[in-house]
Amino acid sequence: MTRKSFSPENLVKELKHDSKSLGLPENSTNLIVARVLESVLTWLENRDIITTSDLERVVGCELEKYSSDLAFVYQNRNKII
Amino acid sequence: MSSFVSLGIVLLSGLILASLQAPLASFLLLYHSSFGKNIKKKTKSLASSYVSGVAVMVFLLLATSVFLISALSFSGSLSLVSLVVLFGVLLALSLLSLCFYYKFGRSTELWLPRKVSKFISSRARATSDNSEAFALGMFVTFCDLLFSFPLFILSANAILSLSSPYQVLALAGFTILSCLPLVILRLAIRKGKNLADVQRWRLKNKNFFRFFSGLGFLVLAVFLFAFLVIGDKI
Repeated sequence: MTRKSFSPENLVKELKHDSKSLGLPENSTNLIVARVLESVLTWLENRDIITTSDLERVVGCELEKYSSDLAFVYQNRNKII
Repeated sequence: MSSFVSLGIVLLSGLILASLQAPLASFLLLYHSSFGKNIKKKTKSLASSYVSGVAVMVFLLLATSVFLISALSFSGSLSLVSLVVLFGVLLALSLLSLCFYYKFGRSTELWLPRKVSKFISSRARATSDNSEAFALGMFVTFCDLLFSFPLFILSANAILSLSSPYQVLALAGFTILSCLPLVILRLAIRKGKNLADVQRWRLKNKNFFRFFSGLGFLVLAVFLFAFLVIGDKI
């Protein structure tokens, strides 16, 4: 098991990449990413330690509100092969 | 062995090879990753290189099998004992592909060891050059060899029984057939399908693919036993 600190930059980069690949407009992407990041940071406020699967679940749930395709791709990105 | 039986074996083996999912999954990852960072033209070029890599590897493996069988056997085809062993291997693969080709759970993860699948994922994401995409296609085809090796051997044996012009046609036909899913996937993406659509479709039809390849191996085993093992004795 490895420990690493949460990086909002990486999350934003990953979501923007997936979003571009799915062909979502840039304006919508920026809006979705900002809202998801805000929710995730709020969720993180009272937590010292989280697991990767917790983070993925929360990000996935937030993404589901705005784009089901983006949420699906984010949740399944390591389950394709 | 009649030409029809040989062509039947080549076609059936090609179809079973086409139903194996590692090249398709890796292609999907490559396409998705490239679409997110490159322009459309670059992505198309990477996809073409990847498909070429898979096709060349399939062709080379089949041609090597043909060469090995013709060089190592006295009669220019597999002996009866080898065919019986292949029959057993195909039966085992039928069971293996039904039970273990896909990992359990709601995902399309394959039997590949975790390190290998992580390596393929990371290579697919890092690929930015045509030669890298070509090499990735070759590597992924090689990774599925546990399931595809008997198909190459059996097809090679069948190809050797054909006359020379048909041998080349059978080699080409096998290669084209095995790359057909990649070409279809590419066309689907060109028509507007994205990773989410294709992955949902793969997830929905996972059990069908599992059943298809399992049944394919079984049918090929029965075909081999009926036409080459028993048929040879009559």
